[in-house]
Amino acid sequence: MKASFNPLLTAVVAAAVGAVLGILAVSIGASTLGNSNSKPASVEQPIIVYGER
Amino acid sequence: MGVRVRRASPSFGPALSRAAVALRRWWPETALGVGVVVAILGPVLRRGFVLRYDLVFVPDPPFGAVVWGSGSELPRAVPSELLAVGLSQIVPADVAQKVLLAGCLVLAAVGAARLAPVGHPLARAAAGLAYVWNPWVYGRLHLGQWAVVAGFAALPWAFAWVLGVLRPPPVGTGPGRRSAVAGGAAVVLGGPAMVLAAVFACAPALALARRWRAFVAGAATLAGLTAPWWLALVSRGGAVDVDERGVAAFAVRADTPLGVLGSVATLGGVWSRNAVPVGRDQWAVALIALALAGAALWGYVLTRRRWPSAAWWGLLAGAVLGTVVAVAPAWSLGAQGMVALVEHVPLAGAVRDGTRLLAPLALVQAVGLGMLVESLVTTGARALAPLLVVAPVLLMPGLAWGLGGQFDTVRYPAEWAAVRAEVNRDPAGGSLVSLPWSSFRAYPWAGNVPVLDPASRAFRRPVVGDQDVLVGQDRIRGESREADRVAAALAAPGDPGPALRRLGVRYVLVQTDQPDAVQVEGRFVSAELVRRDGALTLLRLPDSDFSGSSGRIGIMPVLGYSVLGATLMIALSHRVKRQ
Repeated sequence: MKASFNPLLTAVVAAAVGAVLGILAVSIGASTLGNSNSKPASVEQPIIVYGER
Repeated sequence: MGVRVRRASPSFGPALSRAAVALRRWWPETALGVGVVVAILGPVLRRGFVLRYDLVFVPDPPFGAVVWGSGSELPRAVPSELLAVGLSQIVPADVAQKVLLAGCLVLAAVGAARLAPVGHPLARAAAGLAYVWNPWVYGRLHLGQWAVVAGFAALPWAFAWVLGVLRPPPVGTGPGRRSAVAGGAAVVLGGPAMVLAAVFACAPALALARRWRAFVAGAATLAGLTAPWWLALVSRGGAVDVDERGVAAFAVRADTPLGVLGSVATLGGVWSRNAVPVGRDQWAVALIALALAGAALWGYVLTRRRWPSAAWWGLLAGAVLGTVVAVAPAWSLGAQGMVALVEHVPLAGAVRDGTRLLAPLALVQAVGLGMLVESLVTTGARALAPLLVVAPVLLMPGLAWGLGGQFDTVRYPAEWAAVRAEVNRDPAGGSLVSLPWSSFRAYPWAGNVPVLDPASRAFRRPVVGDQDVLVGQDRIRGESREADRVAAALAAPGDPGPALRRLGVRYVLVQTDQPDAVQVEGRFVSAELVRRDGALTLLRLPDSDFSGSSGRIGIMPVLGYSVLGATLMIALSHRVKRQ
C-alpha cells in the first residue's frame, strides 16, 4: 500500500500556503518599518509570579 | 384497533460487536487510558473548575477575542480555545475542562502504546505509561498547559501516519491511517512549539525515505491546520515584538543534580522550579531516572529491525534536534544565538520555552521502554518486566492523584455571573479593562494558586489586561500594544478614566480580592459605579469613544477556521491507493 496524492490538490494547497506566507511576510515587514517601539509604561502592579527559576 | 406496525429500530448489533472486538484487541490500551486518567485526575473528576497558571476555564464561555485571536496580543490560544469553548456549549464548562484534560492523557497513552512495535500487553502498557508518566508531562500539567499536552499527545499519532506512509502496518497492529491523521491533527492545539516538535519528529523520516509527495502533503496539512493561527497573526498586524529577556527566563534549567544534560535526558529541565516533581533533586532518584532513560534508549536501538530504517533514524534525528534546541540556551553562545533569533526572526519567540521540544525524545524513550519490556518477556526475564513497566510511577509518584494533591476543584463566586450578565447585556461597544494591572491572579477561594486572569475569557467584548509575566524578579514584557497603551494611561497620575475612554474602554472591572485593588479603584473618580458585589467592582466610563475596539470578529478568523475545517476534511477523506 502506498499513499497517493493528487498533484492538483497539492498544487492548490501549496499556492494557498504560499499566499498566506506572502501576506504574513508583507504584513510583518511593512509594520516593522513603521513600528515605533514605545517605551513600556511603568505602572503599579501587584506581585503575582508566574514561576521562579 | 389498528394494524400493529412494527417500527424499524436502529440496529446496534454490528456497532456493538465492532466495539467488543476493539476492546478485546486493545484492552491493554483501554485499561491504561482509564488507569492514567483516574490516577492523575482522580481528585478532580467531579464538578468544579481546576484553576492554576495557564489553565483557566470560565462558566458559559463566549466566543470572544481569545477564541478568534482577534485581540492585540499574540493568538496563543488559537485554535485550542475554540475547542474548549465549543465543547462548553454542549456540556458545562467545568465538565468540558475535565473531558479535555482526560482526553489529552488518553490520547498520549494510547497513541504511544499503539505506536510501539511490540505485541505483548505489558510492553504496550509500558510504552504508553512511560509517555504519560514523566517529568515533561508533570511540568506542563503543573503549569496548566493543557493545549501543550494535547500537542504532545498527538505526536505518536502523527508519527504513526509517517510510519503508515513508509510501511503500512499489518492488520491488527498500530493505528490505521484515518486514526493516525485524526489523532495527529491535534498537534495544532499545542501551538507553534508543538507543531515544530511534530515537524522535528516526522519530517526527517519522510526526507530520509525521499517520500517528497508525503512530505509536501504533510506540510500542506500542517499549514492548513494552523491557518487560524497564521491568519489571526496577519490580521493582528504589526511586528511580533517578543521580549528577548524571555529567552533566559524560560530557558532550560537543571532540575536534578545531573546538570542540564542529565535533566533533559530524563525529560525534565522545565524553566520553573515549582513545576518540578518532588524527589528529582535527590541523587538516587536522578541516577535511577538516568539509568531508566539509558535503558529506554537501548530499547529503542532494539526496535531498529522492526521499523523502516528511515522511520527509525528519522525519529531519532527529531529527538536530537529537539534536544539541541531545548538545551541551547543553557550555554552563553546558545543563549546569544537564541536572543538574536528572537530579535530578528518573526515568530522565533515561539520556541523560547524550549523544553517543549523534548516531546520527540519522550516518544523515543517510550517506544524504547516498550521494546525493552517485550525483550525481557521473550527472553525469560519475565519477573523484571512488570517492574520496568511501573518504574516511571515509582520514580515519580508525585504525578499521581492530581500532582500529589495540588489539583483541586473550585467554583466561581456568584458575583462573577452577575457581572458577566451585566456587561454582556450592554449592546454598546467598547472594551473592558481588568484591574489591578496584573496578568495573573491569586484568588483566596481558589487556594491562592496563580492563575491567568479569567476576565479575558469571561466577556463577549474585548478585554484588555496586563500581558507581562513575572518570572522571579524579572518582568517579561507581553506583546500587546493595546495593553501597553492602557498601561501608559494607568501609569499617568490622577484619574485614568478620561485617557481610557479615549482608548475605547467602556468598562473597568476591579477585582477587589487582589493586592492593591483598593488604591486602584479609588483613582476612578469620574467613573459610574455599576455594581459592587463581593470581590468585584464594575465601573462604567461615560461617553466612551468606541472606535478603537468594536469587538468585531472580522473575516480572517472565519477564513482561518474554514481553512482548518477544509484541511481536516480533505486529510480524513483522502483515499489511499493500494498497490
